[in-house]
Amino acid sequence: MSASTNYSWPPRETQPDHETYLFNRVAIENSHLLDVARQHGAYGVLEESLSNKKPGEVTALVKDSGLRGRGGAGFPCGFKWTFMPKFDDPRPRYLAVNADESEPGTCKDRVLIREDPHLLIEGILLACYAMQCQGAYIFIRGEYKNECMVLQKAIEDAYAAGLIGKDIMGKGFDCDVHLTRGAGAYICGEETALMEAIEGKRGHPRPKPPFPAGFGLWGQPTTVNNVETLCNVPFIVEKGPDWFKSMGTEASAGNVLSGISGHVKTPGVFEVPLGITLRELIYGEAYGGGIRDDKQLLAFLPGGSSSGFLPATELDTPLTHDDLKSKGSMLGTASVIVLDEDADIIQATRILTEFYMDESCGQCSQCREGTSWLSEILERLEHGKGHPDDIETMLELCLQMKGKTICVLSDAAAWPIELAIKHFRPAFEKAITAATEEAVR
Amino acid sequence: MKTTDPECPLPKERVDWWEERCTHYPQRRAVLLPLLHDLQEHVGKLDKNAMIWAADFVGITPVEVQSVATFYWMYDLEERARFRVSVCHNISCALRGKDKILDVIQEETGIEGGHHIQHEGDWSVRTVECMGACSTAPMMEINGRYYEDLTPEKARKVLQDLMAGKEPESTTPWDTEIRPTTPETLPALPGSRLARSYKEEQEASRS
Repeated sequence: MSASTNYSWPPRETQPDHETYLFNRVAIENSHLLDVARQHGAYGVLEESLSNKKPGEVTALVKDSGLRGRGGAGFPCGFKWTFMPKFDDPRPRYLAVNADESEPGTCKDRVLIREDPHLLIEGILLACYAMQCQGAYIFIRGEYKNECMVLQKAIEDAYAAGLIGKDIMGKGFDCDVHLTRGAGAYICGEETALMEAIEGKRGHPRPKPPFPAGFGLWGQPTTVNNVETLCNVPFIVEKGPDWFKSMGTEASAGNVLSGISGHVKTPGVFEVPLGITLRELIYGEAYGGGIRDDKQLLAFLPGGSSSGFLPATELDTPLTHDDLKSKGSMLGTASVIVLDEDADIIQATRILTEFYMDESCGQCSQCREGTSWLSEILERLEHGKGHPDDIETMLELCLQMKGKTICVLSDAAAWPIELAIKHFRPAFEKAITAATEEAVR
Repeated sequence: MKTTDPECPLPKERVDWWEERCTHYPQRRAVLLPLLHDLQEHVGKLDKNAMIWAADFVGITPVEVQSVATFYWMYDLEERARFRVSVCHNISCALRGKDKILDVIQEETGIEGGHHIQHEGDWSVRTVECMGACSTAPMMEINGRYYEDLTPEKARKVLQDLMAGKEPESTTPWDTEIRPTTPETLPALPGSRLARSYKEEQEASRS
């Protein structure tokens, strides 16, 4: 689409040693403005596709590319699109765009929305064309007020230029893009809770089935896609599935935006090919740059808070869906959080558990009660007041919380604790022993 | 909850604007989340009158509005302070020193930040969950504006600037907040005036 290359936010002088596409425009000054974005290729693919491709061809390209959702679950994107009813179904159909990025450690969609909103809009329109949706509903988290305004401005400008609305670019395709700003709730990132919030309700996940493709927004067929997933679509449609598969690995194709935070020298958001090792991401000069103050690595979360802690011995794990899954973790949002040797693993686990307690919507008792019990136990462990059976109690609670609730927030709360105990059990035992000795004395 | 007819808390042109927005959705209540933001900005808090008015406006019961308003943390049912500080206390910010930022805030405003909002004079402080500025942690947000990549010194400067009635400078070298775009101002509320109404959309899809 454009000749420039850039792989990082904040932008760096150094050139990447791999092909980049998602971040190419974000380093350009005023890249969020329509004129600037169009000078650098925005909406070119849309125009070409509306003229020369049938909706089914666009879906086929995305399906063949093997693009997997970048919102956390990693579900194949093109495959998801094919769940929508056939085109002769008379019901209206919608695309819901998940811009409710709230997973701790994740800050990639914010950069895309703020710096290159027209890439997102182009991706949305291509997805709507492929599925013949008459409208897209973007749900952006309430905290991103600034990003919401930038995106709204981009939508207005695109309408005025005839890129959204009736008869887009004179090619006979109609599609509207609506934007809803939330008001602060992590659970709205869950696809059915997201739809409830767009409808103006509490963000309570809906039981599945029915799945969104059959019964989504206002009961109509709906597909929910993440911002970064949709931003991949214009490039796949332009350059083809084979180009896309040339990056990343066979089962996890393409580039991914990985945010690195915590105890590293140079935190940032980086566009990297899937399959890069976590050692390269954390220690590579082009990325995290190593541990702050040259300390030792204690643990890291490879994919946002829900992915669970992995110890330093797992550093050579490639950043792919399957490799991380085999370690009991997951790729999630590919947001790496790094803890150095001085960090307290119990405190870190407690912070995450309190987050899930705070964000549990309260519908299912396993999640509502489980998260508060877990944080109470971790709180007392952290302050040296642990009970001898605390580890077993926590593991039992985690077991009861997994796979028994409407959505996976409950599971996501249990995973980090299970992995923390699996890999750092001595730290937990030490805290309990110290507490017991204190009590005896 | 409803005892008397509510007074309209918004000026006429805002009401017209929201009336137009309602035409874009199959159900009027779809405007509820952004409408409550607007009411909160105008009234200063979501009081009983505003919630009853919103319920009448979108055609649901007041208790349904209250249930939505209490679900999301960004709606304040109590009086809001002039400067509202939120400090992220989640993992990335905790690892990079949010405690030091909270210390500075306590020194400057006299408020010890905690999970529950606390008021003191012009200020209110609370700690919140992840705000999405993890690679530029620690961060704080004041009245909707993000201050990222903080050090205790930068945080103190921001607070002192606000106290002196000055607009603080960006705390990062790359200015990402309320970016200058074209001369016209950014739209304050989501929703495009140029979008087709729901009815038009329906008719177009049928033809």
